[in-house]
Amino acid sequence: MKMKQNNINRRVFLKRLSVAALGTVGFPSIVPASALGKSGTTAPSNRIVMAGIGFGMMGIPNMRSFLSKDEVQFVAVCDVDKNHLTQARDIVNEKYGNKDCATYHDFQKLCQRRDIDAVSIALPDHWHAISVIACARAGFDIYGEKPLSHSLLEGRAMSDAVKRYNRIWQTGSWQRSVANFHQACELVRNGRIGKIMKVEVGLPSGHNDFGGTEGQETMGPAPEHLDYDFWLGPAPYAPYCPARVHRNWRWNMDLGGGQLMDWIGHHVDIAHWGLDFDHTGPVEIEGSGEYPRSGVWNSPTRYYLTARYADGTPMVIAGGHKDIRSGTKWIGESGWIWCNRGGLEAQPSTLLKEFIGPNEIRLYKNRDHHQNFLDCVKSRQKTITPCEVAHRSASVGHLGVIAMELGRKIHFNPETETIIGDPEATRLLGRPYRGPWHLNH
Amino acid sequence: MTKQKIKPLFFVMLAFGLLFRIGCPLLTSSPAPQTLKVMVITGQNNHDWKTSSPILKQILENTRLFEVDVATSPPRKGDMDSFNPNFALYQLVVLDYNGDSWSVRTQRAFINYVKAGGGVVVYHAANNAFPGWKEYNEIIGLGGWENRNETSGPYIYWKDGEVVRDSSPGRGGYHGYQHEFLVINRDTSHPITRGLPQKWMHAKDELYSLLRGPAKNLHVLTTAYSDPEQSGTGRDEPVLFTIEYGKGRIFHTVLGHAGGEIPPPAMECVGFIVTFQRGAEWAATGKVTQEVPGDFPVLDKDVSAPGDIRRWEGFRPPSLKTILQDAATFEYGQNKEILSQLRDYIQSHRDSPESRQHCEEQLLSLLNSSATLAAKMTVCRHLRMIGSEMSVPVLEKMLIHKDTSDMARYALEKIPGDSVDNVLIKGLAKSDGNMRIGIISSLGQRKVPDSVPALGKLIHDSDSATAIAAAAALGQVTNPEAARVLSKAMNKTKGQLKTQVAASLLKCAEQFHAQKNLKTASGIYNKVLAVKIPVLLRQAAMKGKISTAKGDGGKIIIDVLKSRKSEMHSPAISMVRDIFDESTIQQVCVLFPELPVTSQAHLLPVLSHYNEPSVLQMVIKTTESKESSVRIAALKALGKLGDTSTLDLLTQHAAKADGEEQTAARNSLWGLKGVDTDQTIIVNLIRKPDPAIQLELIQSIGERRINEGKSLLFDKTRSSNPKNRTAAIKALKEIAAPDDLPRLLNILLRVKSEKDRQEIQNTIAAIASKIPRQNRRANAVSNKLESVETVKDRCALYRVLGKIGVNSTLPLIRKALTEDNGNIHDAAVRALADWPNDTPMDDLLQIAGRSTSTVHQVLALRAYVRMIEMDRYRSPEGAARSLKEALALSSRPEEKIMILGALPRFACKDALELAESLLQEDEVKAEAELAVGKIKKRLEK
Repeated sequence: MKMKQNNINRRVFLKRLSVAALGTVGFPSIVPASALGKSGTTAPSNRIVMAGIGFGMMGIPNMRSFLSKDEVQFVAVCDVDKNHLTQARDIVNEKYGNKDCATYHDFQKLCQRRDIDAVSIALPDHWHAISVIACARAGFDIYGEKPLSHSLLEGRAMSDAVKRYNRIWQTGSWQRSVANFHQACELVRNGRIGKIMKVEVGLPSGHNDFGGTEGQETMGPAPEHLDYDFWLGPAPYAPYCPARVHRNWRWNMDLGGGQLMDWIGHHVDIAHWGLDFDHTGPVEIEGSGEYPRSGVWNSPTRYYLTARYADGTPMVIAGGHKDIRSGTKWIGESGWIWCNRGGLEAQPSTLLKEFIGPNEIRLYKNRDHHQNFLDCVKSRQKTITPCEVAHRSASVGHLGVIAMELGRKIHFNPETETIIGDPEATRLLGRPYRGPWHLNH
Repeated sequence: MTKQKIKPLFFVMLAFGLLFRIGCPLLTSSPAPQTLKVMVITGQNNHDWKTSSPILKQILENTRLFEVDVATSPPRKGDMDSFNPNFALYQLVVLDYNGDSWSVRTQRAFINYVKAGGGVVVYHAANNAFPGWKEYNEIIGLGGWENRNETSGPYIYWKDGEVVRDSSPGRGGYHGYQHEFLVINRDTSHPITRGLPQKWMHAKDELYSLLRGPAKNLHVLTTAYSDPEQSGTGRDEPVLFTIEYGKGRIFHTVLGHAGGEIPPPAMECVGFIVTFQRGAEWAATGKVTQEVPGDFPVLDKDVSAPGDIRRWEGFRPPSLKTILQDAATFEYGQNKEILSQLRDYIQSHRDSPESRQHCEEQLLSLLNSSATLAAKMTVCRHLRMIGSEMSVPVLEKMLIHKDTSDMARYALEKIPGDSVDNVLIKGLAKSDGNMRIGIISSLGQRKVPDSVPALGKLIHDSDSATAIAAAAALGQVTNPEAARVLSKAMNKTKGQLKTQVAASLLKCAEQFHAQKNLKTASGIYNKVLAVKIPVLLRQAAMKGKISTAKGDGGKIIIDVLKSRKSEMHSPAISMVRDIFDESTIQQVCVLFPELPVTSQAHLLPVLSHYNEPSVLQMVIKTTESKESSVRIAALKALGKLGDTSTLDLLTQHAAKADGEEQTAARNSLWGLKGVDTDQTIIVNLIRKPDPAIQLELIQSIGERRINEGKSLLFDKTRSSNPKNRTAAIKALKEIAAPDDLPRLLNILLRVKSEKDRQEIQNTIAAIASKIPRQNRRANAVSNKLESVETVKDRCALYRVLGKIGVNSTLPLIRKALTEDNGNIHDAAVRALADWPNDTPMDDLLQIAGRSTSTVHQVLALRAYVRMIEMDRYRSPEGAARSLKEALALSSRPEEKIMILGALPRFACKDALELAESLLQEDEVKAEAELAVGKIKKRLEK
């Protein structure tokens, strides 16, 4: 892969040298204010130097969030689509009123930079593990999109790498940073509805045509601005067609995981939070899904999964089933609590007026997901959605996909993260990579 | 499976059956040479022929042996002379007909067709037809109903191991209740029934009994017991049999009732489908080439149960061989349905070892053929799941070819067994570049111990990507031998490769650690710590070293923290909680004052987990640090560690600090634990006169919801200190209840400053909204309105009514609007503008249009636009109309921009025109362009 790097001017170069010489990896770099050419309100020593990888969908909004923070200095963007790259670069340069933002085609070249503290990664799922592990080893703290991984084994490797290299990780599971979800989980944790008898998680069904390319399945050469072979990367080879790529890759199981995996990192993540299951997983899961009969979009459109955890708690995860309401619902011995984006309901409804006092179980409170990441980059404390937690949320979906594929119940040991007594299911825990890509721990 | 669930699928399958033939040029343009032409005759029947005939067509075509036309007769009492099917074009005629007599010409043509060797399948009620047509009855052998009796011929049934021909008098044709029944194979050597089990359960069906007819050249294949429990005859009745007529072969199945439930369970039964397909082929050719599917139901116990029935949703899925025949030419973007068929087949056949092996054999034969690469990839996906050592030789060949290597690995990587390992290792020598890196990656994923020597050599390969991949793979193999090879390579490599070698060694060490082999792990960590690699990896090694040092971990941490080289502080600090407990943490605390500022700031959150007085004392002391980052970290830590005793300290910090430090102190104060804390806050608020301290305590009562502090807060609303007064009003918003509304209203009428007035209005609206019945929320306020006299008081109450927004109080506001007093009028306008729902839209539009005050015009207009946006169910055209009215009243660019901002939410032609009308106005041109663009984009969708 040929590196393409523009606009590294002398100032940035100098900055890079000085930072490399200080060798402060592990703590945020110290960027001299003079080198930044900005007189921000944040003390220079608190500046966090950032880069972004992947700008096809969530990359831009995430970057805009970070750009709005005084303590962030964006210095580089990376994408294998020239159009995305140019768009991202222009946003950064417009913000700073200069032309300093460096551009990269190959994230591996970006990983060689020593002046970067943190990256915001918003790549398709099939690229998550390889890019994240490379960035962790490069010493970057990482804001990454959900679902964490494209397979359970990848998620394990990612979480291990983040831990090994002491990196700060924030997942784009931002619901934890929103008041109603936080309130719901605190009520559940403090036993306000008694022992939990069942959890119902309703997720979307079908496919969303985010890219406006539904049905555009005529195979042909990729447009000139997209390095399609690189974009495809570790996924099995398939020729280019518009419906397979930008914003809609999620509907193909080689590249994403459909609605189930898209949303598992939201509502199941919240379910886990309320149940204090952030560091465990189900002991069994079964279910069925409806798959399209043809087409590039082959992810399940309706699905119904039933998981059971070690303490016996059952969790239903369904998409496209009217009896399971969208959002997360904990059903306890003495009532229920339901929450969704913008919604919070309970039975009895007086529960919602209850206040969780200082002497009760208080959950991590945060109201700005991107700021939380930056704060933790500085404090070296865990974010509200650390890598391991995101891995556990995604695992439920990965196991569900396997159960649907095999059409039978899967037994799982959440301690060792192995499937019990089912070699065939075990084969599905990871995916072989197309050469030359491999998990570079 | 419920009926509703099957229905759509059924129709999809039927529709697909039709589409598939049209949409798939492969099949229609070049049918397999042996394709047999079939005519299904239907159009009249006492059964649901509209359901059954397309199913029969599909069942036959699924074999890929037949090409089926359906000849539909005129309806009952129609012009039967017009029904002249051309039998000569077909090798098989399937009779799904029970109705009006055919014309003599058609009857003759049929007889001649059969005599000349044409095949016939008689299906279910077709044996009711034409009781008086002699030749027809000879062709079908047995018939029923339509006044058949002993003159039609004998009864045929099975008794004591042989066919009984019983000419006793009686009715011909009968059946009991529909039920599931056992079919017994009476001739396992006939081509149709050869290979079928001795018995199997058939799905719910009519069991035809007491059939009688000429029964010449009739051969019984299977029978079923007509159970008196089901109102049956108690005889073993024939259900499948053959007849020979002239040179013609006839297969007669009484099974497959269609009527009622859709799809008919009897027709979805595997036993029905398979025997129908085999019988059809035999009738057409005299042979049966079809294999018995692996999932044909078998009954190996004496007691039959409905659970033994096997049904195929969508009827007979094509055999794997035929699916693969179609799949062999698969290209991406074409004929994609075939992949689902393949998936369905494998999914339903991979559970038993035999059928799974059959699948694998068939899949491999595709890999061995000249099938497309896309087809081969599809097959490899399935072999990833079901492949065994049988697949290895075929995949081995593919592994070393550029075009097929990745797909071969897609399967191989997941197939267990040493032979796969060997093939991959051998593949290393026969490949290079990306192909070889791929193989290296697979060896790593499989953790193949035997690959260590080969991978060890590749670390020194001249291609750096290969070398790095080899080092990475060794890090995945993680056995002692891999660790040795990596250790050796450490000194002989440099740059990125060296970094990878070190990273792989770290992985090995983690593995040894997990296996409790601490010594080896620790040796590796020491080695990594000693080499020149990026500090990050050495930090990781330091963490590992501490965690594997058994009792010495604490000493290492202390030594590191004592060291002036701070680069290892971060990993050491991250390990503190793993090593030190409450009794030993003091060893770390004593080092604290000498640590660099950054390390102090990072250590404090770690210390906050230690519920230990000496730690608390140290953290308290640290709140006096000169460094603000350290002070902030200490204050945050106190939020966790502290209790009532820390209250004063936090209060003081909150009172005197500012910015981030104040926020940290306040958050800790608000979340501070301790049973006495709430009580102490109240006591302090009474005792401590310092207004800054009082402010913090007042806020804490609200934030901590200290209900016991409520009356104190009411007192504080009279405080002479303006800040504290406002804070008390704000805090009441958190803890006051609807009962308190009268007191709150008194405050409203009492306060002097505008700021306080706004706060108390907000508080009252918030508390009123806690009243469950919406229409009672404004009662306290409207009652009060009756008892006040001054304009000022009335104005204040109108404003509150606006914020509460109970529609029944609108008349009060409207009345106020008409008053001459300017202040009252102003309050009423503002109340309407605050209204939380969109009821007063018309009032606002009027004000916007007629008011003489520019301020009121603008207020009303903005509220009007806000309310248009409130209702997301409003029709786009309706909203555009309202926005157009608003635009007509807008004179300033600010409101025009607001309207332009709202327009895209209601994308429609009118909205577009409205936005476009503003394109010419310089002041709002940019926003108009944006809106036009957005609306157009939404309209395109």
